Amino acid sequence: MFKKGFFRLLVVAAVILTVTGLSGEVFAQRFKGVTIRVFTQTPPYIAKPVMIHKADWEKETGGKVELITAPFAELYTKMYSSFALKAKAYDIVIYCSGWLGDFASNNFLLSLDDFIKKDTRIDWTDVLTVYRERVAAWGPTVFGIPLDGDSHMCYYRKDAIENTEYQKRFAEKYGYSLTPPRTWEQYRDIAEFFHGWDWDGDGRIEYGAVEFMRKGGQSSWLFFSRAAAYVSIPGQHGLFFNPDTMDALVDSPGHVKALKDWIEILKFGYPGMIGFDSGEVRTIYHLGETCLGIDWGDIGVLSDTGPESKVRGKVGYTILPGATSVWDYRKAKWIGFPIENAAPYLAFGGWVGSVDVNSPNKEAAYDFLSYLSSPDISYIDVTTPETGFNPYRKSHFAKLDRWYKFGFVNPAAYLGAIESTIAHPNVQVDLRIPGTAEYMEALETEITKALAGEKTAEKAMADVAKEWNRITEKLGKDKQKKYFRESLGMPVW
Amino acid sequence: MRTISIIITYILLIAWTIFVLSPIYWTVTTSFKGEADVYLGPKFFPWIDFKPTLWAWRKMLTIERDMILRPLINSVIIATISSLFAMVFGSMAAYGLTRFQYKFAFWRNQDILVWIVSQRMMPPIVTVLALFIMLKVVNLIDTRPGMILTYTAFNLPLAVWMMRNFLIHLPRSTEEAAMVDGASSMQTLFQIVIPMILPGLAATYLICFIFAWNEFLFALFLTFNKSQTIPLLIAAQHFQRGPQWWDISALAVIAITPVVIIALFLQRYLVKGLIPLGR
Amino acid sequence: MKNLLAAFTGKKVGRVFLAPTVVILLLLTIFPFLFSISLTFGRVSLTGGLGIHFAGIRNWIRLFQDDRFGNAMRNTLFMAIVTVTVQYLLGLGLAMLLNNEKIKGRGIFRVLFLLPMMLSPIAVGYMWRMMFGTLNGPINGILIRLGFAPVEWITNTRIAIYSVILTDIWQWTPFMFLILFAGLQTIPKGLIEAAQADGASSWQQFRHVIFPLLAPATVAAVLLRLLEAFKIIDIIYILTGGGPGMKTESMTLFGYSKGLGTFDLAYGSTIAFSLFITVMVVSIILLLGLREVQEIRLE
Repeated sequence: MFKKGFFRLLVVAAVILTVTGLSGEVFAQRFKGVTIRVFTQTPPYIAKPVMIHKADWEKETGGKVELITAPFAELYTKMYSSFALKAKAYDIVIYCSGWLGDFASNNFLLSLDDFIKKDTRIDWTDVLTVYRERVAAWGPTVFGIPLDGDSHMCYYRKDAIENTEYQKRFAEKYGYSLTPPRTWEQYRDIAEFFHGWDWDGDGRIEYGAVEFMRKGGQSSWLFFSRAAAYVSIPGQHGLFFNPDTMDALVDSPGHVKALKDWIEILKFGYPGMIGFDSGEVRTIYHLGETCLGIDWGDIGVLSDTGPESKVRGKVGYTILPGATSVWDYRKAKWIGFPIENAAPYLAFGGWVGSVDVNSPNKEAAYDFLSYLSSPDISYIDVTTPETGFNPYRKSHFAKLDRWYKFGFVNPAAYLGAIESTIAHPNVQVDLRIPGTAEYMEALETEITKALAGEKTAEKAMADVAKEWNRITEKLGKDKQKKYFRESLGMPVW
Repeated sequence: MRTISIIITYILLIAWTIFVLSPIYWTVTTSFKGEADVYLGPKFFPWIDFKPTLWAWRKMLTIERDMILRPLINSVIIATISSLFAMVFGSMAAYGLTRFQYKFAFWRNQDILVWIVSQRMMPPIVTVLALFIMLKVVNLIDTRPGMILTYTAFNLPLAVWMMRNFLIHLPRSTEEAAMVDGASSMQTLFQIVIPMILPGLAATYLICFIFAWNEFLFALFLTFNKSQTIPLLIAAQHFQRGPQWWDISALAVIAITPVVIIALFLQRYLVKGLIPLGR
Repeated sequence: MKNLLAAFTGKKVGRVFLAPTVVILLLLTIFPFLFSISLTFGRVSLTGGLGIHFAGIRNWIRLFQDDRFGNAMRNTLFMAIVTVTVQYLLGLGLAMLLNNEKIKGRGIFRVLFLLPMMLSPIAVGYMWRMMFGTLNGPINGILIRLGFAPVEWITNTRIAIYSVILTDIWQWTPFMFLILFAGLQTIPKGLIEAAQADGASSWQQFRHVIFPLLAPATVAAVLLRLLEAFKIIDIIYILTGGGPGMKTESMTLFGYSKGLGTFDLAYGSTIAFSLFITVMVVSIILLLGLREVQEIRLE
């Protein structure tokens, strides 16, 4: 009897093992024969994580990943045409989250809520709140998987600012102590002080600051980084539109001041920077040519980990400079702030991955995105050179070992600046309504004229506002207002 | 000619040659430079100013080889075949327009010719979107046949104009004599006519090839991935770190090589073939 | 045999010769052309598939009120006229210089001169962007070494457009040179020698013999090159992106950034169409004008 029971147990065990073993096989190859097409920017940045991890995913699932890329300037057009004309050229698109509103409101994207609920791997709550709710979602629905966290910060050369001799001379000249810039006025003074002479002893002349100003070179984000502090009273949203009337706010005196600051910084900037895009800025900065720079996390990454960097370990990080006088659009006057008003800006929001609502391979597509975003895989990506992915999960900030391995001399300082930005009470989110690309193109067009001296700052911003209002009318003012309020998490009546 | 004139002539020619070759020299040397050598001030001479490195070339020929191979093959196939079609159809049309009298309603030869050539006035941007929709309907987006068709149409007006000017100055007497002598039409075509117009054909082919090889706008919008051509590849070198000058330079050298080879091969015909344009 | 002959010269065969060209062109250029015209009077909505709605002349009104339109048109006309003129003069000069049999190595020069036009305009844009680099470009490098201040070739609002013109001249002069050189070959040496024998100076030889006989080549070269010059985009896109400010934006670049950059298709088509009309008008004026000149010369 014992034997019989034992034998039966064995049979049952064998059956169970076989079934689970087989199903392990089946599940392991659950996307066998499926090819998903992923579309994003030309490698290495942003595309590299796909390239690194696709082999593992393919082995695990039996599916195949085909990577298609295009230069940044053409991403929006190609995605839009594939969606709108139903060309179904891509299953997954990895793109700038600012465009998510455009795509989601046109019903181009697949809702990912159900997938996320069933997903045990993605650890959704590990993603920082602001990215979960303000970047990946549209209204209450999640349409994108965050793959990257973006914000602007200010970089400075420690060997310049912490030099006691220079500190003395600076205090003599300007009447206050030299510290990492806390306001845009200080930024300007520091740029002026360190412009046009060799302060790091390498035999080359250095310059004050380097920033990207080229139309189509992502300059609109840098502009808003500069404007945010001047127009964002905590609690108000004065950066883009009036949330009650949907009138453009970009011609406010605060915005004009920011543009004037920017025009002035040309005097203390790297020669030719009016034609620079973000890439050139990074290369110039990490070759040691300027004291100050504004960028996403990439200057930091390149400076400490780039193979040709001349400034490793010499770079300091701080949140974007603030302003001591802020324009209140409700009261239509300047408000003084004894302690400067800081308004760090989540420029670009971050790259997200979405699935075409008409994709024939939805499950496989989601699975790959979830794989890329999973805590362990994404940790690798944010600490690997040339991926372009910056941290966005709590776990990214908590573990420092890979950051050191990455090459950072002081990862805590770097991550600290990013965390301070994201967690800042007055943090500003990027514009994410339909037509964002069009609004930004209009902005860059006018700003570039002001920078080139063709128009006054006032006229340029007035023209931007005019064009923004025209675009709003074209797209439907009420609709845009609804979308804008939703993107800010404000109630929509 | 007096010696002084000759010397001045040489000086001017050499000056122009320097002007022509400088950017090319710069590009070739840059393809052997590292990042710092490019950004930190102009370095002119390899081994004197900077240490040449094969970094960019190694990248192009190994890691990124697949990225390059497909556009290269696409460009070769698309340019070669579309130029062939343009040349053949264009010559046929030109032959027709100079040998026959057409009459469609009130359209005569001259009107047809003008209409064909006026297509060249069309800025491609006018037609790009409509073409996208059309090609999508017949599923030819991002395919080589789609691009071949597009470039053939793009180059036809040019081919027609060039061949027409050539044929118009070709004496018909030879053809007629041959036919009277009893040669069949096919014989006439291959043994008599074609050898006479060979220079014109070569010139037309080369010009069409150059235009098709270097075309950007149509390639940008009518391909997504599989049929991308070389100009797109070069334009895509704009990484997040700024234009990758060394990679772009290496690519540019690769891009120009096939054209130069074909041009060297056909260049003797080029001048002879263009003579009638000047008549 | 006679039947074959008759067939060969008959109408049907004639049509066969013309057919492929006409068919292809009709298919691939007429429909897009009509489609684009209709777009200029419409409004495009892309939600839920492509929809075109009638919008009257709204796009055209917007175009004429847009100061970017006037700017782009001025830039385009300026660049086209300057580049074609300079290219013509340089091309003519080079053709004349190289026409002298006493010069050795003419074949080599000829091949070298052709190189620029065989490059992709995109590659040419990048090449010259490097050359024009403010701090790390070779041109400024040489200027600095000679003691001059660096020039902001592509970032200075007044200079930028001339840098674009220079790049275009570099690339397309070979084209002019080629056609004019071929044209020079057709001038019978006998005529020139006769003029010399009559005691005419070089300049007189040129003015009364060479130049008039070169007229058809001139027309062909200038017209072909002008048509292309109006469409300039690749070089500008890479070299300056239309900047600084809008100082170098051409009509095609303007249409591209509005129509395809922000997907405002109707407006983009309107821009493109206005360019087409301009090109047509200029071409007609040029052709009529040149025909007059030609007729006078032939007498």
